[in-house]
Amino acid sequence: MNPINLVDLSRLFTAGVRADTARQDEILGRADAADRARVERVLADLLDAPEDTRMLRLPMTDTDMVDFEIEEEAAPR
Amino acid sequence: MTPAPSTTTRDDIVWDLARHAVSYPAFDEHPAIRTEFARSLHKRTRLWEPLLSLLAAEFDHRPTEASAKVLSGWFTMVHLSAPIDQLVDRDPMSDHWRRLGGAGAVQLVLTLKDQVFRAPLLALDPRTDAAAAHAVTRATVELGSACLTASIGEYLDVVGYSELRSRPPYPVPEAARVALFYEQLVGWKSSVIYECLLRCAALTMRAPEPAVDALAAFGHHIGFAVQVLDDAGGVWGGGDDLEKDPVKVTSPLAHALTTDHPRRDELVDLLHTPAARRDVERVRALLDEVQARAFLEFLIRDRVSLAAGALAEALPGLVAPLERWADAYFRRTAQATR
Repeated sequence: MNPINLVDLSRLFTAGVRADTARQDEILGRADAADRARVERVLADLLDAPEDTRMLRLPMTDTDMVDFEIEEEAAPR
Repeated sequence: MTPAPSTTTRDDIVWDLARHAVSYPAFDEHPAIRTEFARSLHKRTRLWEPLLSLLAAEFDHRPTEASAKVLSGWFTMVHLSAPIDQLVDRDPMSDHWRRLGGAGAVQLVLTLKDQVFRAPLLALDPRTDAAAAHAVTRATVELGSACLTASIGEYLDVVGYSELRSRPPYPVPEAARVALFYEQLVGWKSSVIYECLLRCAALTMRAPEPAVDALAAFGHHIGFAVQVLDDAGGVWGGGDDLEKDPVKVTSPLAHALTTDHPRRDELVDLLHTPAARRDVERVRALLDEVQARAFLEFLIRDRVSLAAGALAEALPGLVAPLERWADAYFRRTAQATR
């Protein structure tokens, strides 16, 4: 259900980090206008943030996934 | 972070889903498992009950025993996948489950699933009108259907198509093929499961049909984002995704293996090293070099954006509150835990 697949999103992200607009255009050339506008906006918003603040927030031990209490898995890295 | 407007919540909506979700008779003989289950469930229900309350307010629904049993049944079913996954993956299990043994654990899971599917109809008040009974029945069937689809996804996961099995040099096109399979797998598992939760909620609340479909699409995208969060937990949180043989290609590795970068060959070699000798810290460092965690943030924002877009036509009034809920959920602010 995602119009732009995971691999293209990965390549698009890398092109964005490298400010390679030609490569971004090439990847998004197959997307329709609405999807292209949306993903370009999401990526631009993310890359506007400094590199050390744009990453996914931790701690990750409290994800929504099942978390029975297993001692050896309790300590976050 | 903008706080949620108080006008979209109602104080008289109480779900208490964690309590409902451990109310099945099969737990009676396993009080320690029931206690552990309830504690773990509460971590999840406290994140989702605010969203369900927003929907209840939108559709003027007051939780009933039957609607709570449908939705709490979803939480029980999702949690029951944990002991089975742990058995299949030979992952550590809690002491209480381990003591049951493999056959005992499977037996308890099957008994509970049977009771989950019977509970909503048994909970219907005999005086309930036909439309409400139909809504609960439809939602229960949806729950069963989604569980079957997720089982197919689990089977494909067990078969190992998303594992890194070939030898180096592991060319980019091969990594891309596995990454795209992984994306499909998430679509059949996590996305379907969360799509089901939102569809079941909308059906039991007797939402109009276009709203049911819009919320299901919202759940589908949110489910994908939840899986991305879990993938991050498997690498940087409490998980052990980098310590297994063979390594599974989840979203951070999909990014690092399908993009050309100077350290890709080193990463491939590391991932093919047997787990006992693998330098996991170095793998994490290489993932950080390609900004894998920022890529995961990109994936989550993209999916939240798609989820919000799915609501725009049928439920425009819910776009802003549910975006705020998602923002709080994925940023782990206090707002998500109300």
